[in-house]
Amino acid sequence: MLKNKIDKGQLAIAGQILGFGSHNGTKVSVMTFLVCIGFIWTTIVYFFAIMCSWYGFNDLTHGSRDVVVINAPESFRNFADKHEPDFNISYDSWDAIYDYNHAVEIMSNNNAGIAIVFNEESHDILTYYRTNSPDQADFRNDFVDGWLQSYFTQTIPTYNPEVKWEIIESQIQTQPNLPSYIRLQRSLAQTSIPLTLFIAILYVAMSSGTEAIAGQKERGTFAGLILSPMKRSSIVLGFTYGVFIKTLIPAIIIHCIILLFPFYLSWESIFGVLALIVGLAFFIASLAVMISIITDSVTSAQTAFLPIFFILVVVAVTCINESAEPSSFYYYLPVYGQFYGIGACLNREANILGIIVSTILTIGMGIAMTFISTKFIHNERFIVSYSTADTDSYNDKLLPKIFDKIIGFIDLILYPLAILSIYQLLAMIPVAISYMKDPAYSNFIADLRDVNSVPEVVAKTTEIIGIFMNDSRFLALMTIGYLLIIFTYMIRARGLCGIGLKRRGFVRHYITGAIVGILMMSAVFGLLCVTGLCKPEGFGLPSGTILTFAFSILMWFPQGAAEEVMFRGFMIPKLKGLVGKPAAIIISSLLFSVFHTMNAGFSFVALANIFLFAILFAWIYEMTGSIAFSCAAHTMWNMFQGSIYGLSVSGNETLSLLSSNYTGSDFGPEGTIEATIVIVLALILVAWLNKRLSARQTLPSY
Amino acid sequence: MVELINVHKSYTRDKETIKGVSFTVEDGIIYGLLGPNGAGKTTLMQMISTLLNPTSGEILIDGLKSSSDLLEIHRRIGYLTTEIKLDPVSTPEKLWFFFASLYDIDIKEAAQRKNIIFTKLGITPFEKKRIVELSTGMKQKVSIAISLIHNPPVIIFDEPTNGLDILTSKQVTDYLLELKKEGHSIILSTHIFSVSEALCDKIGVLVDGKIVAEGTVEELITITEAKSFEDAFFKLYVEHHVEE
Repeated sequence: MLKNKIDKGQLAIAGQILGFGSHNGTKVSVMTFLVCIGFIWTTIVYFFAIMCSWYGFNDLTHGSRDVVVINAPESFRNFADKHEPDFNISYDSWDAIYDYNHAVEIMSNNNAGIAIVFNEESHDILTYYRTNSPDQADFRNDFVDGWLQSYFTQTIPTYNPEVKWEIIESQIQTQPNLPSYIRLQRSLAQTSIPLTLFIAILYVAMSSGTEAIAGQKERGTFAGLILSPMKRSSIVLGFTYGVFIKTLIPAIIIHCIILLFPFYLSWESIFGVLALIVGLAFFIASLAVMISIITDSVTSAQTAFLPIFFILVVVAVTCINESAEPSSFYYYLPVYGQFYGIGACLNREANILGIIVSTILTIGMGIAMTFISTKFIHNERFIVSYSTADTDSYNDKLLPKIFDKIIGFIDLILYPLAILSIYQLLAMIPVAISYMKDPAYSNFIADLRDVNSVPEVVAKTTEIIGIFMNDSRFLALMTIGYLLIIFTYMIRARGLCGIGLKRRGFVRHYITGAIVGILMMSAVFGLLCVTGLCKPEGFGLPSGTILTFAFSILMWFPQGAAEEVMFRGFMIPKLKGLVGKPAAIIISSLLFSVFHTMNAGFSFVALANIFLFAILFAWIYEMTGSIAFSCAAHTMWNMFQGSIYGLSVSGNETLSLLSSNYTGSDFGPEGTIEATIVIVLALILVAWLNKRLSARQTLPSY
Repeated sequence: MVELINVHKSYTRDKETIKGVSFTVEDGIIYGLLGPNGAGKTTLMQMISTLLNPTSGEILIDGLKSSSDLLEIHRRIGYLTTEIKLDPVSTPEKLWFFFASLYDIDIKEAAQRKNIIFTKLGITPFEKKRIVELSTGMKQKVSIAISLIHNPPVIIFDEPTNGLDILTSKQVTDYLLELKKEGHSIILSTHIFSVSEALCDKIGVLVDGKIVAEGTVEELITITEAKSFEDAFFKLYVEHHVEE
């Protein structure tokens, strides 16, 4: 491929892309760009906010021999009073002890060189001290290894001998003590400038690269190029050159602007940065061209490029986070090398070998992309379009047919897992952020250190879910999340039919289902009370939880529906096509029960119950041809179990109207024999109904 | 010369679009592919022009196979179809020189050929206008001009007079006859009877992916014992079309 000399055609194609304003912004969504920029600048602001505390800290006079003690216990104060150390001790208190920023802030306010934090609950002593300053290191040795250690060995055992305390050391990295304008200038060179160059390169490559071939396909002009007597590899190269140069232009303009600042101007910053942006631009351009080849339209190409855009931005953000002292290894890597290299070049600390190695690696990756692109462009599937090309014979060549089946199967199994965890994660993020400053949460994180066996992991996970299940924000977000899951499935199945929902008889089925669900759960509850496993203790929600309760009630509706859509409405028809009806019901039910094994208190009875439960609903789905019934029954079963009768739903506890003293399986009623009895009875009823219905159907019609 | 030997094409596993087509187009004749919508004309044309690969069978252009001599075939064919569009923001003139460099044509030679073809098809008055501003007929003329930029010995035209008025149609058909005289082999696909009657030396009737009859207009009428060419086509269609 590299033997191709640059011919007239390649130059013509490259020139066509460079034709400024030709397809200026065709379908290149300005919104996409603005969202990206907004995301990036928010992140920058966020990271600068973190770094500000470092700056504040750096203003400390060096050699400060002050110690700030946070949440000091009585014994410590006594010990300090008795021993009269040769440094000042100031006291403070703060709940969120793992809040690193706050520790730094307190140190700064108290002009301290070391901060120690006592955590009564997890019996930790956290020590924060500064690094990279020799006198500070001496002070740290004196204090932590000497003084604190003696307190630790002498006083703590007498104070409470049963509890084992632990000293945990955290280092606070600081930059050399330079004048603040130089620090700002250096940190800009390490963070914002490379980031801006990255954004410029990524955005231009994304807009022009995806526009290049995919845009030509969309406008129908691509076949004209393919029919010309140019090698396909030349066509790819022509596009790559064009996109590469177009990508390079804004980056070089930014580079020139940066060099106007005299403190950034040096031989390293001129040629080093140039080499780095050339490497990066080539890699990104060839990536964009490759994506453009395998997609049919600009919109789909950009959609495909967007995740890559975000991954690269995340890489950049990671680099910013570590920008103060990156490991030298990073200078040799592609993409990382560019980011750190730009900063280092501007700060006149260039690692010449690093620049050469990372540029060669990056360009090598670009060449590999171009090579893959030429392979793709030889396939008619990518030059005509998906719809017209012979996709079947293409797949035949690639994989035997059985692989299609296996992949389809894995897809069916993994899709619900993946989609549920994505939405749950998304719903957790805003809530988790607000928990960061919550003392209870800090202790919770501290406890995570002691987790070292599988049952403990399971227990902790349940605890986390428990925290979230009692948060109205999480419940509200999950309600939306479940609705989105149903919506995603609808798009995937192209309509209501594909997920097993029918308009006809929906209301009738839903209401019957709801009644059946309530009756079944109530029967289980009644049985539990009769056998004495459960004792209702009275009504009433804790005060101030009515909103959370309302949200949890609301959540059960899409939750039940989403699980039914995932495991029955969508999965059973698909599985039927692969393995037949009985196997489809059994496999989907097994998956449904395996899906619940991750919850707390899981037992064999629970597995059997959930499996039977799934069989029951799958059967009803087969009978009615709609999941409306099982959606309602599922919702009501969970709602009455969790929010009304106050039992745990598959191991998850929620707020409830009725508080019950339940002494059965940890998994909740679903882990008890009583539930098995009710479900088996329901199954028998369904079997009987099924027999009657089919008998009715076989009657001669008049 | 174009030869098709038992060409099959299926887009999906269970349905064949082209079910074994064989025919030969000698130099200096116009071969017409006539068929109803969905018979497979465009698929066949795309396969001859190498955009699609046949599932089985061979297509030879001047004895060359697309699997081994793709670029040489591209130098020898000119393909016109409404599916291949022109860059809307470019001008006929710019496009001409763009394609000239893709076909590696010397700039002087390209300018000469441009003058000849643009004058003949009447493109010169609007050669500096942008493609978006042109009418359908004008665009079609520019497409024709560009597909002939390298003076190809084999010309494949998919519905060349589609959407053109009578005057423009006449201009195009006259030019095609002229090209034929120069010794080009031309394959036309059309569903317009008057065009095929007036132009084609040989007509292949394509029904459901098969050539059901082949010959001159007179021969086709004689075979089917029909009154007119149109009638002959209907008879062939009714005889061979199978409803699915």
